[in-house]
This record gives sequence, C-alpha cells and structure tokens, in this order.
Amino acid sequence: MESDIELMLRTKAGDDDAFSELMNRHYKGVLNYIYRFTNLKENSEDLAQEVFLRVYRSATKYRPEAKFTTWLYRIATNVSLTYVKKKNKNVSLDEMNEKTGEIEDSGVEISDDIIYRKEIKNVIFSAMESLPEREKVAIMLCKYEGLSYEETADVLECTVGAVKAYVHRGRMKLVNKLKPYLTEEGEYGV
Amino acid sequence: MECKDIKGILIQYSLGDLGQVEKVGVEKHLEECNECRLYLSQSNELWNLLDTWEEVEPDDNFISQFWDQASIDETKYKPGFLSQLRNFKLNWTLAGAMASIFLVSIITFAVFSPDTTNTLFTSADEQDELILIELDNALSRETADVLSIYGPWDNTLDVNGNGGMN
Ligand SMILES: [Zn+2]
Repeated sequence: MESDIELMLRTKAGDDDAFSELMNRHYKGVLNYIYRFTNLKENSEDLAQEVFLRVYRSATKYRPEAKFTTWLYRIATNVSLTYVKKKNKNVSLDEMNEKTGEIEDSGVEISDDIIYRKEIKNVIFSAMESLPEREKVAIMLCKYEGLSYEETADVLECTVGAVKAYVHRGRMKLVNKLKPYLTEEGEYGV
Repeated sequence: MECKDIKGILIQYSLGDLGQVEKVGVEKHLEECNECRLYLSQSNELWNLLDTWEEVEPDDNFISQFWDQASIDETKYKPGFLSQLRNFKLNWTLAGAMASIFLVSIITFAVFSPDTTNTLFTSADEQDELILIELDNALSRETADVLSIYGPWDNTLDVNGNGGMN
C-alpha cells in the first residue's frame, strides 16, 4: 500500500486519483474530529470538505518531511477552532436549540438505550467544550483520532510531556464534570 | 506521598510511564487509600465513557462532492495566477539578495522583509496559529481553576511527565 506521503506527492504532481485515495483514508477521521468539536453533523461535512480543499490547494507546497496526518489534523484543528470561535461569538437561540435539540425520525421506536446514548453524547460534548482548547484538542486527537502523543505534540507544536499534561488535566476535569455518569463508589468502593 | 501527589501522577501510572520507585510508591498508597483508588477507577471509567460518543458516517458521495467543489474553487482561486505570484515573490527575494550585496557596504543594516511564509500552511493557517496562542492564555485561567480542586498540578507534573517524590 502506498504511504500517505507518496499519495500526496502524486497529488502534487497532478494526480487527482491519489488525492481521492487520501480522502478515502482520512475523510471519516477528519469528519468525526470536527463533529466532536461542533456536535452538528451537517456543518461537520461542510467543514471537512473545507479542510480537504485547503490541503488540496496547498498540495503544490507540500514537502515530504511533514507527516501527512499531522498536517491534516493541524488544518482540521484550525478550521474547527475558527468555526467554534465564530459561532460562540454570535450564538443565537436558534443555534442553541439546534445544538441540543435534534429532530426525531417519526415512526421509529426510541429505546432507552438510544435516549441514553443521545443524552450522553450531548453531556460529553458540553463537558469537552468547557475544557481549555489545548486540553480538548489533545484528548480528541489521542482518544478519538488514535494519534500518538508524538503526533499530537506535532499538531499542537509542543512537547510530548506537555501533551501528556494536557490529556491528564483534561481527563481529570472531565471526571469531575461527568461524575453523575460514573460509578459513585468505584470498583474498590468503601 | 500524599494523596494530591498521587493524583498528580496516577495517569502516568496507568500509562506505565513511572519509574520503578514511583510505581511502587503509588501501588503502596493505592493499597491503603480508598480515595485514590476511587479516583483512579473513575478516571479509567471516564476514559471508557468517552467511547459511548458514537462516530458519524460520511455522506456516500463525499468524494464527488469534493471534486465538484474543487473545480468551482479552481476557477475562483486561479491557481495559475497564484503560482505566477509565487514565482514573482521568488524573483523579488533574489533581487532583494542581490541589491543587499550592493547596499550592505553603504548602509549598516539592510531592511529584509522577514520571510514568515511557512511553506506547509496556507495563509489562513497563519491567522489560525494566532488562535492557538490565545488558547494558551485560556489554559492558564483554567489551570488556576483546577488548582483549587485537585491541588498543585505543576508541582506534581512537570513537562517531562515525571512526578515528584516527597
Ligand atoms: Zn490517597
């Protein structure tokens, strides 16, 4: 299998099929990354498309020293943060409703499990949103995108130790915020 | 070690990042301290809870959508013009270098326009980088908040990921 770098170099040389292959590999990851920033599937599709457009546009400037995923997630992070900042600046009531209220598929029976999953999704989103950006980004990249600490450090342009600290602090804040959803006594309860 | 020290290094402990002495110290403390055991188990439980946030699937035709958009984009951005512009910039750099050879003997310093263009990122990314710097400021505020809850993080967790021993 060709590496991402080889595909990107082919893209640079004008081979669009190579870029389609890169999208096949990474689009879903980027889409979900953005989705977890915004909690809105529709917008996430648009933003994921924007990320790949930006990558495609700058393909001519690509140099193989840069790891493709690092570069990709750096752009995705910038696009997401820009969107979130802009959105939070002019958040309207409609948008707030849109954020938490979702339209149900009529005629579909909703089980307790679906209700729980939906609730927990919104609760996790809110808890994540309350974290400082670097802690949020570090957790999302490590936990959800499966990036290594080293790769995450490259995205955030910081040390591996700093990434671990971000993840650690963020994780502890999430424990505090999501306590009602955790076992009160824990496995070793008193 | 006290509870706050232990809590500061529990995640490194879970990751197997601690040295032998610290590891034994944590294990000994965990045997005796219910609070820290709960803290550890809740932290692990939280990590698993995050998995309940399910993934979304891309639209079936995301690739064709992309190429439609890219072709609109191409006419809008005129990449031919852009690459001409890049060459133009390159010529300017060369011209500037040559001019400075002449000027450097006369003037004590030459004015270089600093080349801040990161070849990896688009111009929009440069703007976006400012956002990440802003984020650091936000982080220190939050860190102050969390200190009152969990104790002095910075004392127990340095950037190399090593916890301090009492
Ligand atoms: Zn303890």
